[in-house]
Amino acid sequence: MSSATIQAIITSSVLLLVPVLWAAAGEAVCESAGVLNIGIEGVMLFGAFIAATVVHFGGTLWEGWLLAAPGGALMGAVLWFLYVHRGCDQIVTGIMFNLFALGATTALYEKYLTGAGVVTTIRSLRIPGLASIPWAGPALFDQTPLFYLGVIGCAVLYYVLWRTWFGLSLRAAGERPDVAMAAGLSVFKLRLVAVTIACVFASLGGAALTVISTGSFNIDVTSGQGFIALAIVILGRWNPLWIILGAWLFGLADALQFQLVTVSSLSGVPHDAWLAAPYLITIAVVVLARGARYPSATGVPFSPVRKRRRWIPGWT
Amino acid sequence: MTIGEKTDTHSRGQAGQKLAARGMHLLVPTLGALVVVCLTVLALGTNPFDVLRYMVSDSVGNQYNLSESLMVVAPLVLTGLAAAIPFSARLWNIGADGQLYIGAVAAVTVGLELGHDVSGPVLSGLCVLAGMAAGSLWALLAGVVKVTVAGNEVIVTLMLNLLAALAVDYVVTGPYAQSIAPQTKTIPHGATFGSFWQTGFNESIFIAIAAALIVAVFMQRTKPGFAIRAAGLNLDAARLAGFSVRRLWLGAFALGGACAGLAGALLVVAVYGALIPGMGEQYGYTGIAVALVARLKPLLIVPSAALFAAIEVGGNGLSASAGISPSIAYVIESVIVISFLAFNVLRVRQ
Repeated sequence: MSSATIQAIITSSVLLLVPVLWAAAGEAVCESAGVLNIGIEGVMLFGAFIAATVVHFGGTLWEGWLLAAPGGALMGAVLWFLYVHRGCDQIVTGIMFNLFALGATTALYEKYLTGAGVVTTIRSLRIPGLASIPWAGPALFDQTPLFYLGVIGCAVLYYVLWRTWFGLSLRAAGERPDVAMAAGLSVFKLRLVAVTIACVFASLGGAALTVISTGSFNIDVTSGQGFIALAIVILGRWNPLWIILGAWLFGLADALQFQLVTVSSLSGVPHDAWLAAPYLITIAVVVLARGARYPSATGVPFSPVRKRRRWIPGWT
Repeated sequence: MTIGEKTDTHSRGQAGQKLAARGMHLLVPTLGALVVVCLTVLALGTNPFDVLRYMVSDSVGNQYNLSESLMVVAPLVLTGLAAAIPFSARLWNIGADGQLYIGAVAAVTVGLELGHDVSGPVLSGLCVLAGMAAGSLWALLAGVVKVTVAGNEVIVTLMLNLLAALAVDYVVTGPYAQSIAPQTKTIPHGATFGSFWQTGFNESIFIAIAAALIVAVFMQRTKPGFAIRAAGLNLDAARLAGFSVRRLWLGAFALGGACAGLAGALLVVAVYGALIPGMGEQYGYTGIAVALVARLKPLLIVPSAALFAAIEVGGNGLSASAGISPSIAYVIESVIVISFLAFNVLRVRQ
């Protein structure tokens, strides 16, 4: 393998980690507050679709990416209503939301977006000086701006989650919601903020997929990246800073798959085996994460003893 | 007041009120689902009433369409069972999709490899058994991760779905590739099922209904079935009652996987005669919806599967009649389940 190939693998591994980095960082906040958002795949799919739609109808790439954020906030509100307010089972609701997202984006794509695709991607931003470091320089400092923003986002989330009172409250809502309520916190409001953050980040991650990696929308363009983000959260132990490294592992697996196909000595390996690598690593992460423990209320709907408002006659 | 008096006071007025309340329970989520689906259809620039009319005529309108719907009932019953059995033990087997495809891969492999030595019904039987075994083993991978390292079975089964899709891709492009279309060679003609009314509808629906009956008896009338339900209701109680939770978790996964694998094998043996990528059209995920609407009751899965089969087939016709994507069926299915969950018509946890 030539040094150019190795450099290409390193550089593209950092580029490919960007979508899952955004999604996983948001998911860490949401799981810390006690909501397991399996619907993350669907949120990413909608984010990618929003970005592609904006670009298709004449917006710039940046506009497309940024407009995925309000879309994510809207999805966050809907999912909060289902997961938290109505106390639906989070796994089943999430899976059904994914099916909804797949159906809706496919139908809308086939109706409005087929044919023309986005051909340009957001240009990389070179940081002078640092970019000339051998190996790491081009990968880390001559990269798409969304990568820098993602790392900054992770740092901010880390600070909020682990160094502020608000973060402590969020984690309390994820570990012992009854205690958090007794301490005078509103578990429902805390989880609203957490789910909204998670969905905005996941939506931006999906949009990043459109504007940097594939360049256009396609049916089921996320192809399991949301689920991979769920595993990255376990790998990063719910810490947004470790999640950067976890996401890089998957970026590397993706990059290897694209680059090693071209290496002649490995030509006997079927192409599908390379494609399987990220999924196999995901399973390995789940198997090897024996020490990892979900925040104890994650996935459990919180139902304090309280009088429910009757919305309709005959309501129980 | 004695108990007898209390029951006497349940007069017709109260019964009527109860019925009205129940009706409200169903009406509100149904209206909610309709509103969301109508908005989606309007966003596609189509009249919702036209879509409804097309869907009804495309699913049950004439003999051909009706038989198409009946053909889809069989895989949906089986993937519904594949979800319902583990869900009863509160195991989230989201992997019916992958188990279906692996079952189909195994069935087509056996059909093509043994096609020269064995013939007719024996071969189709072997294909079906291979499919069930393969689906079962594929599900057991997730089960083993669950019982040995307490790994999250949702993530593992989702990944196994994606891996199964790659396995299908490999089989279709590699060893058994057919030169013309992206599918495998067809298995020997004698091994495939016949068909009624010149369509894909055939005996497989009876196999699926028989499977639902067997699972119903198993879950309601046998000790392991009771153990699975007990583990879902209260894990600690099941453990204290002396059931080996690990063993029954593995059993629930294996049984669910066998049902999904059977669905895949039947698609090969009874419908297509070959392995075609995408032939499982999200049946695995739809099966979850089928199982939930049936409240995880094996016998109710049959009518529930019939409903979803009609939605699926009705949706398939829409690209020709209304010019919108068949994937609108997924929107309808998911919105029904979500709104039923949100308004407490369905409850997953007790």
